[in-house]
Amino acid sequence: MSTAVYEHPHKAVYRRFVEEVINLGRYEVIPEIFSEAYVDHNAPPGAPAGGGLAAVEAIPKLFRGAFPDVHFTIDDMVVSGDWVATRVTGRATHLGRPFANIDPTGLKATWSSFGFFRVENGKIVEHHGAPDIAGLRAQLTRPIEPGSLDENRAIVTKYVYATNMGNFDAFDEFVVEDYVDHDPVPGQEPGREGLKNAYRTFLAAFPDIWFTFEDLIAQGDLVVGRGVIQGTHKGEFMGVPPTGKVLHWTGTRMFRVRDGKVVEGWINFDVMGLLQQMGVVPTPPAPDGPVAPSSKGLRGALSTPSANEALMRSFIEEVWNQGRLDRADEYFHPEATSPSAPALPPGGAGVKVIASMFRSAFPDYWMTIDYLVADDEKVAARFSQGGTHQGDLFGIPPTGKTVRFTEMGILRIADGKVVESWYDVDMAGLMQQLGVGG
Amino acid sequence: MTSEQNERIVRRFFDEVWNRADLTVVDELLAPRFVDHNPPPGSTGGPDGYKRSVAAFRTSFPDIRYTLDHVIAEDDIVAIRLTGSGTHRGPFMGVAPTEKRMSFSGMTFVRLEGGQIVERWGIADIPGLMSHLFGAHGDASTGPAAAAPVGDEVLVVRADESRSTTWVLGGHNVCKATKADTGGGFSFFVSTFPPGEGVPDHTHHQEDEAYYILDGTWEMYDRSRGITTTVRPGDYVFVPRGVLHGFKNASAEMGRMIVVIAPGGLEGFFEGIGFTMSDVNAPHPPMAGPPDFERAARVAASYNVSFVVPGRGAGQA
Repeated sequence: MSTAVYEHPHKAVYRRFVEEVINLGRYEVIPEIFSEAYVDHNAPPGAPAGGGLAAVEAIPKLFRGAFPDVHFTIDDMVVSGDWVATRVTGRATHLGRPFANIDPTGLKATWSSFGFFRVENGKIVEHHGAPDIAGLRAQLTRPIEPGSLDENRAIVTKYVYATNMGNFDAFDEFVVEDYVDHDPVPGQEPGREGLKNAYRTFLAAFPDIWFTFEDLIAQGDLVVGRGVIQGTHKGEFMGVPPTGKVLHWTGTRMFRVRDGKVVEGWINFDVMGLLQQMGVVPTPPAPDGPVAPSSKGLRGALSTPSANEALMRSFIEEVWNQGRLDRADEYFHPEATSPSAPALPPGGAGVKVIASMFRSAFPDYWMTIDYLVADDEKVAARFSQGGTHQGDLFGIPPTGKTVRFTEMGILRIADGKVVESWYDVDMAGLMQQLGVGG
Repeated sequence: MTSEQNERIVRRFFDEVWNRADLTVVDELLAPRFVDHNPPPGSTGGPDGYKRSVAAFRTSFPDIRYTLDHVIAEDDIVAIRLTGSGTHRGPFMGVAPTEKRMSFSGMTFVRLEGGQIVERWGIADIPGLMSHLFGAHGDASTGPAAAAPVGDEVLVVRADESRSTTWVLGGHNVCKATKADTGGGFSFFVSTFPPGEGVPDHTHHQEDEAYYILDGTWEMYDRSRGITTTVRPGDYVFVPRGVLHGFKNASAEMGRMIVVIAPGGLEGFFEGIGFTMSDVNAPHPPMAGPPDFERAARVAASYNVSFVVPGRGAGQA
């Protein structure tokens, strides 16, 4: 993150490029950073010819498409005259599209990149670049040790990529015949054939459906993947006739992998968001207050899977089960935000808002961690929660009903604090049990 | 030391160590605790490892010479953009001498303490150099140099055999060799298109493509130059990566041609946008109706192929 210390303006403009365009994907600020006369002397194959702002946008987009979590760290910058020379380290996971003809495998890579940038009137006008693409390629094609966490990540990544490509043979290759689905769609038959038919239901409604993983966390035989689903609504879905709209919704999936195949699966996805975009459920009004800036760029020291697991367990116990809301400030960085709830205030304050909302609607509220998956940066959990509806919830007056619903949540941890979090809650299941909508 | 002094030390280092082949200067200007964060393959590290790397490189390119295109010094760091050039007179990374003149670009950062270089970070465009030596263009690691060895016997794929058979946009493709079969080197297809059918304008950003016409009269479109060429059996067509192109069977008979795409892998693209057939000789795709250009374009994007979607761009086939 930028600091208050003076920085040479050439370095500051390059820092904006890295921190905003590459790390946050804010392509709209490119005209503030690059001149329209921009020339790239080392444009990679496939970049739009002739330079200009389109070329600036194409390369970070290409990287983000292949590596949805791409993040650059600036190691060194030196300035002389109009020029700033830069040395950066890229870190990314190959979860998205093929890169340099290599299909995604879920492998992580770290590579160096060097550049010479010329700055004129506060904008970058010229650039020579030397990214270590050969080193990156070597890491993306390295052999995967059988039985390793990398192999489990690769199986899940290849399976989901193949289903995105409409390859039904992938189900037979990557999923066992007696597969167990913990979150079947209504009417889904058991096993792999049932899974295929459920997928056909989605394909019929969204012929171009595409699930992009943005995160993959593996521990033991479990893999949790958080992502964004996109599809054009061309067929009936949940009783809603086709709207022809391109819809985007989030989903978090968990897979149990044994002997190279998926044996069990879980999913929570944002059904309410989907129904809102279809126009059958009212969209809540946009927040009137200012929205906190994304904490995606907040980085810090990594931890250990066991420390991250302990943090998740005590956070859930203290804040959600015991209602000690003040403890949220201990667990959350003051600038932490959640893309799942961007309107909430940042840090522990946002946690307090949402936890007190649920705890006042369900005075006997409880939450359990059914599964937990942690690595050195993130901890994911599948939760069950419930209680008796005795207070107002999103404007729904108390029904007295006892409910139980699931959720998938992920915390990203840096320097021992939660800096970013994501949630997919079975709101449709909750609403159905309360007797509204569904 | 000032940044000007550091810059002079670095210029002297390249001039004397590389351009005048004086390895004694390495001991003077590299600190004993010198660390190379991006060492060349096989380097043993430290000043001695650096000397061995210079000597090895000089065996491959005896007249190696570095030009410092741009040097920026600030505090204890010196950043260098450079061009190396020389003649390939000894084995280099498994490539026998080609006697070719070559050049490659590179960038290096070094940190100095007390007049000596203590750390180095850098990258040289070795893939570009390798592809230059092989006469190919683009990334050598996808070209012939890096294609993994595949088996040790002659392989025959019979007339009625296929590694992957697809119907794509009106054409029928029998894939005789996939990326996996050729270690990534190329993919080989025999493609059949009914009269009037073809492939709309598209660009492969990563692959070169060659056609050899077996049957039919075809129109080949080079949209990058705005040229249409009629080709017939026995004619050969080459489409370099990056060129917007398309084609159509312009005759009244079934058209047939051999298609070789390098590097390999586009069979996955065909499987993604078309219909995979179990029977090599299946006469028709399983579904009638117009080709889904939108879906093709979307899947194409994941293979770094761009289509001109009909109705959105000019000049469709």
